Amino acid sequence: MFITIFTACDNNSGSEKVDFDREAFLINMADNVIQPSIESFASNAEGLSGATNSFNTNLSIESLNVLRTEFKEVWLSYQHLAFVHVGPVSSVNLRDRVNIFPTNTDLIEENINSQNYVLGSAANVAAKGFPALDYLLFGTGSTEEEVLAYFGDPNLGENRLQYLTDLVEDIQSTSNLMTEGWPDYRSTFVGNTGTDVGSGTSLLVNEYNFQFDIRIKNAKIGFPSGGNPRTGGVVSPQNVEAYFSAWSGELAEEAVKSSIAVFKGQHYNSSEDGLGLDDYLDAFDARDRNDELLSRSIINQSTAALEEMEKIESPYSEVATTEGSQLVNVYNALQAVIPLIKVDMTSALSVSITFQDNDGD
Amino acid sequence: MTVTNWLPTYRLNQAKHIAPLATFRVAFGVMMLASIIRFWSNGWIAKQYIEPEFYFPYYGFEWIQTWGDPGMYILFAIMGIAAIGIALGAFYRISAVLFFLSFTYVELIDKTNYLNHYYFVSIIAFLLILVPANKAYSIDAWRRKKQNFYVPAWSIHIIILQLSLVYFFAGLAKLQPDWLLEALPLKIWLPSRADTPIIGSLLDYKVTAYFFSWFGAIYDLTIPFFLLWKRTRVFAYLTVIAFHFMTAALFQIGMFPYIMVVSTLIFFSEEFHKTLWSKLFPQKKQDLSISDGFVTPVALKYFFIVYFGLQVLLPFRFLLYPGNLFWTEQGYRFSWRVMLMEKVGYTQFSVNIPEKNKSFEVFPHQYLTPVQEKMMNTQPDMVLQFAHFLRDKYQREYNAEAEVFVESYASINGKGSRPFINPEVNLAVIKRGYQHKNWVLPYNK
Repeated sequence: MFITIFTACDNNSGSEKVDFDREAFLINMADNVIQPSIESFASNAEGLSGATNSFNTNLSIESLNVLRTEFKEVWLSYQHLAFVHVGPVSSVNLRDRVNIFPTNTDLIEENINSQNYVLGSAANVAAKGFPALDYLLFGTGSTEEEVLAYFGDPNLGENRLQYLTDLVEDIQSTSNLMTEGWPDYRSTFVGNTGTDVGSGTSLLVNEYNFQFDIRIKNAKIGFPSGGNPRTGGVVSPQNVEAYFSAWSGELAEEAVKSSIAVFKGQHYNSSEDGLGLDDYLDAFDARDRNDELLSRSIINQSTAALEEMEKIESPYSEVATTEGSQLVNVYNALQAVIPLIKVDMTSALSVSITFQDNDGD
Repeated sequence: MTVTNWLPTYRLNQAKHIAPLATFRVAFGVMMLASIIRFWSNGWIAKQYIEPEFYFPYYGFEWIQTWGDPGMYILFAIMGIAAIGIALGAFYRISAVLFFLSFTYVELIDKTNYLNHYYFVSIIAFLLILVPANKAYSIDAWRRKKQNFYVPAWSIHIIILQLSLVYFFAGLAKLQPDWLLEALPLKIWLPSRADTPIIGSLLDYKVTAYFFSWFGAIYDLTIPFFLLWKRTRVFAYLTVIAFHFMTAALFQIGMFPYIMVVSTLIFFSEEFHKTLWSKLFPQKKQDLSISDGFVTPVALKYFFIVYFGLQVLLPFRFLLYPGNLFWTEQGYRFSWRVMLMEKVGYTQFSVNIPEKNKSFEVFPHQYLTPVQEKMMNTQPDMVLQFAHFLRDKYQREYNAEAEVFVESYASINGKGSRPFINPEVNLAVIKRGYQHKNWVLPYNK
């Protein structure tokens, strides 16, 4: 019986197989994508800490500008790290810990006044991290002098500097935890070549999708612009990322570039193309609805979204009020990626989201 | 009242030794107890029946709701005690009724957790209520100081028939082009299990997926017959063991393989089971007087005719609906369609309140567990239920009419995502029920 079945279906494709070195993929993601991303974030966080210290000791336009530059660097490197939200990055809960926006300026001022706050508490998620720094370093004055005056205030200046320092320390300690936690996690990550819950592949894919859909498409673009046609186009420009520094566009573009880089398994430091999700999908010969290689469709569609973003010159907060349709174009282009990654990619790699029993129906 | 001695009736009423039924009773009870302990210790009672904010009840069973904490634990404890009662044959009917009710109640709380395996357990528990499996080798017999080793033949045959139907329909469901000609979804699933010890490296080969597909289909269609036939029984049973252990190693299907491995023992002969029992309980002089036949109440007879008639018809009810079964899933459940497709979906909800000129984008993950969301994304009736939940929630909050729209995509067997539910349809005004869901877009090639 066995033999008949075997030969009955054994057409010429008998030796065809999924030829993919899953371990090499995980090692590439670990050593050339995730680890350098953590390191880069860490060194930028160091830079931010140093610049904060200098600013503390010497309030000047110069030290403010150094601080702002360092701040931008670390915020940009966050965009990449948020796409590999696995292991220690996930256990410190990076996204929620450092990048909840819009920030709550009232709460920040209240904390500063009362000096009675625990940054780690749930109540303060919208009063810390990059968006809070964005407010302190840009939103407290329309000119550099005004910002300096804010920190130099005879009554509250010291409290304000303290809050600034605390915010930066929180970022620094988040960064330290990730750096320390990585070596241990690495072996777990590369050791499990399956796609069960908790496996490196499953985590990577699920986090990638979450970051793309919820944190980029919706948070960075959809909310402020009312991009989703169903939201009736209600715009809320104050909800953009980096509202005060007006870096929204640069950060969002960096995020989409990072998504493509991570997808390709591109080495963080050299941009060399390593084994990535694209190669994984190709090994399965995964195709989209139109029979195009799925990896190509994802890259092409993400690139199209990036091109829509590059057309925008002004800060998103302005665009959202005055030229809504441009951001809506971005939103639509990003939305076109979502089914490809959340449905097609998830399906092709059959990554699990649960340990629960399942009979595939 | 006498029943006519029509041959099948006569056969079914013949006295048969209870041993096969008693083995089945014990095996089933023990497996259920083990399943409950496993479920409990995995923390799934809380995760599936206490923590969720929203549940997906079956149409017409909305009155079935979670008992919360500690209610659900109490319910599972009752279920566990009832399973022990079944295994030991202690207060057997009450135990069987309690087990059936508690188990079925839990399954009806949330569609998310529907598994063919659970449906199987429910109906077997139901059938066990109707058979006198506690007449011997049981606490009840010991309590009553009366062993009765003979039961009507039908009480064993209905279990065999039910098991056979499960296999056969599972096999029938596999006779379709994706499964046979493209080895889908196994071609997607098996390589993802390439980290499995020993056989892992084989799973990357396409031919392995074809082999498993064809073998699985033929196995399901024929195994009941090979088990029934004495000459092939032992070999068939070895195949049962091999098949189910293989599926246990490859897929997340929990206790089911083991339940089937012990359940199918009922296909073995009376002699086999008698030997088994006599090793446990050596009998001085076995067997009391043999009665030559039983009289089955006519009502029960007609009940079984209707019951098995339904069992045969239910898997075909999908024919009443237009469209692609895998896409609309109209008539998909309760039909032994096991491990049949790789389906993934994505749904984005938006709620409009025209009167207040407000619109919201809603993320299901704020209300649903990851598993609930995953299941909902591929099953239109669940999307509708969640849409109604949102409608009610927003209408309460804003005291005005709410509209609910979705943008959704799904893919079957890795053939590319395509639009799933009509984005132009306001789901708030769509009624639930068994009527055709014309708001599901047709599956376009």
